[in-house]
Amino acid sequence: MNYELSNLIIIATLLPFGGALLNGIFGKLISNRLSGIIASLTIGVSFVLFVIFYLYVVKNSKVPYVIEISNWLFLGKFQADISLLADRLSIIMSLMVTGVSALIHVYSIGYMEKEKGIKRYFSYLNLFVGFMLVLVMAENIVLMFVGWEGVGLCSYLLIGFWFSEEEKANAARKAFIVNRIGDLAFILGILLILSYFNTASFRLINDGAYKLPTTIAFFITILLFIGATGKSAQIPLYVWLPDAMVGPTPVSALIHAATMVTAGVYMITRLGNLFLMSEMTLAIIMLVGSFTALFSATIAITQNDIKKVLAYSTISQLGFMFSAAGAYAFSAAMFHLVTHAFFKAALFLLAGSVIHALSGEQDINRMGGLEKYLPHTSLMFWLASLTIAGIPPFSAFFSKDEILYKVFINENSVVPLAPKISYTMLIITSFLTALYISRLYFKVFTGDYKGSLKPHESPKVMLVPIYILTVLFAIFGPIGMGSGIGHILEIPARIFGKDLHLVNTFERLVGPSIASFGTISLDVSLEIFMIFISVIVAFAGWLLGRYLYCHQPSPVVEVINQKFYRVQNIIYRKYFVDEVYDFLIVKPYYYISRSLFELIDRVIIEFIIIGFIVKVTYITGYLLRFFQNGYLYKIICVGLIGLGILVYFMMGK
Amino acid sequence: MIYHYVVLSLILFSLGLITVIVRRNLIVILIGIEFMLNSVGILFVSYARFYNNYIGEFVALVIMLIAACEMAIGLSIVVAMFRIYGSVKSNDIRELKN
Amino acid sequence: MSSTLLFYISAITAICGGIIMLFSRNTVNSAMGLLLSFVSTAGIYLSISSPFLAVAQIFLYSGAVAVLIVFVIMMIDEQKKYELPVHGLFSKSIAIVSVCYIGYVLIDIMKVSSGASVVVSDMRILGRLMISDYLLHIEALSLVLIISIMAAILVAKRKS
Repeated sequence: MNYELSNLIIIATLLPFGGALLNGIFGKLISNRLSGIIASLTIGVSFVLFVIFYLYVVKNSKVPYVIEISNWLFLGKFQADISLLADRLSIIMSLMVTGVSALIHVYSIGYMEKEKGIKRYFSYLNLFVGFMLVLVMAENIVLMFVGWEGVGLCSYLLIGFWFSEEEKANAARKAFIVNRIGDLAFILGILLILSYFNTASFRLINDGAYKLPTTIAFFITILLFIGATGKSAQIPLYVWLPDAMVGPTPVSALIHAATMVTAGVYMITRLGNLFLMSEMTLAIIMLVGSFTALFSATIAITQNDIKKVLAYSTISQLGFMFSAAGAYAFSAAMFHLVTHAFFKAALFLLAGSVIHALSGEQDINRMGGLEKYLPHTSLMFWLASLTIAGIPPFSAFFSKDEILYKVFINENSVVPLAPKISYTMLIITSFLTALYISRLYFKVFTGDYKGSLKPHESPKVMLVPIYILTVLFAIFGPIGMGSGIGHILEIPARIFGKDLHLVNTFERLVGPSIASFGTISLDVSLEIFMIFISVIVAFAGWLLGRYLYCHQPSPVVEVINQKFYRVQNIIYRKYFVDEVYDFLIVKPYYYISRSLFELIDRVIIEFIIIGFIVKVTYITGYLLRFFQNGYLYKIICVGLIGLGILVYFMMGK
Repeated sequence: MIYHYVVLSLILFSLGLITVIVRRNLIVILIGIEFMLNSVGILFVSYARFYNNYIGEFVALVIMLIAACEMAIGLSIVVAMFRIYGSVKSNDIRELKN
Repeated sequence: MSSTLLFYISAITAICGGIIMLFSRNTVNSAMGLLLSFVSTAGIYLSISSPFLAVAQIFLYSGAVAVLIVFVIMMIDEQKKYELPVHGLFSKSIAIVSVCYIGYVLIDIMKVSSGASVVVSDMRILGRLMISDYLLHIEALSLVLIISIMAAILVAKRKS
């Protein structure tokens, strides 16, 4: 490839770091607004560069480009370089990351206007984007791990942005520690890969994956998957994500909805061929993903904090992506990842807009009737809600539908029942998704306003990015439409004798970069049938939510509240997962640490070892002091003793 | 016969050594050192003569010269110390303690 | 036979000189004990038929060193302040132990050494050695002497 373009990619990847340095070091010299503008500009320029490169790649070649920057690690047999891999997958991911980030940066200028430490905020935010780009563009898994850890660090810094408050600092710590558990597994996976492949490069790993024994493949992939559950908030390591909502709302939108949490899905897609080697792992991924989706969707229904609802919704949607990845449908997973980034970022930004309007109020029971006060926000929230509920023709309809179809037709030889179980859970989740998002929308925007402050619409700097995102998630869907809906739409075109190539544009786009598993027989009629099911389910959920929560909470809600009080309470308390983790892991860990501290530190180290050393030193010193008192004759006596010993040995005794 | 010389040498050496250990006057300590060197000279010369080896005598001569040098420097140090401390008692001079 | 007599007389006076040196409270007396011992050592050298060393002993030790010591004693002028001749119990016991140890070593040496007879020293051989084989050593010694003289002057010089 030509030299200028490779430089372009390097610059695009490094620009956010430059912005971070600029804001971090020279922050005191510039005004708040300029700081935000600089941060947004660096990401924006980076985005533009990626667009240029994307156009070039799509037009000219299907071969991935490797851009070598420098040598890095030479460890025995393998070598890991600092080099970037620019193929369709990473470029599309980078476009998504930089695009959404740029919008969120602009939004942050308005949202964080009155906060202290705004330069620190933008510096962290830029740093995060930089690490995310390293993660995405990395040519080998070791460099990816650098980005992986980097985004973890930035996530910690940004969740704890208001670190002076105990609760927020604790949430940041929790996120960091839970991520460490996943990262440990990820490191072990990387080490296993290194020892079996003798290389860290993604291409070589994917090329050589078919030689791997199934057992080894299972261990490697399951370890990598555990790493992914940490970063992408899946059961059992999802607990940090809801707590992470104490951070600034744009951070939640960027890191905990759009970009970082999708790193796990991206990683699995990257190593697609490897994951295909172990059907057991794929079954586990599918089941864990779909169970997480169902589990967190139920919690989302009961939550009253607007951001918590969206957090559980994010976990649920990530579950969808993992299910798709488990069903070999990597392109479907990626497509849902992109659409989800758009609509979930928009939802979070809208939630931020609502919170901004109500001066920090997050409890949806104290909202209501905001339609009148916040017309723009309300409109876009409605569109976003319809999208996430899976109502056509918005993007999530296409992406979610594709996932449901791919999961349904998947065949897993190790766990034959897995796809069907997974599909059932996912279709229930679709219903619940529509229900909780309609509950959220109607409780917040319809009915009577229950607060005391007068809400005010957000400034333009906040609204414009949301508008752009809204347009994106509204029209992005058809790009990835599945064959079923594609065929319906193509019927009129066929009549006029034209082929529009509408089907699976996205899959064709990223296809060359993604592992594929033979040909899957496409049953168009089955797919159309399933589209009907999911559309019906989505509408049912939405309408049920509308019936229960629109304007006045319906009497049915009261009845449900009374009858299912206990169940509701359990769900509201998140199935006591935090308490169980606390009881099973945190408390024992605490007590073990405590007793180790008491026993080993206090008794063995401090009392015995250090005490012993102190005593020995003291006694030796006491004895030596006797000789080192400056009296000449005593010094001579010591010399004599030594001389005597010397003579004794010289005499051969 | 050589035993007598060795015994004498050792007796003289012991006397010098005891002087160095027990006396406090720096000049007397230097005298003791000279005494010890002298006894070693006796040892060398007697062995040289009993085995007809001239190297021993030569070494005795060297010892004498070295003793003279050592005496000169040692005494000059004692003089300098006397100027500084106003005393030539070894107990008064305890710089090594600190 | 006369050499044996000479040895015994000289040995006794040398030991006497040592005892005077050790036990005398007066520094000058200690120096005189040293002088006595040096002179007796010259006698011992004569008894072992090494006349050159005997003469050198008297020149160097008695003539130079002892006189130097007496000079310094007079310079420092501390004779009037009498002192306790010995340190405490510790140094006494160390002294006794070292003497016992030396005695032990002595007995040990007696067991292994063999007897030999005295051969008269030929001064010409010694002189030739000093200007042929050991010339370098002699030159080095002269250098050491010069340096030590300069050092002695430097150290003892009164600061102007």
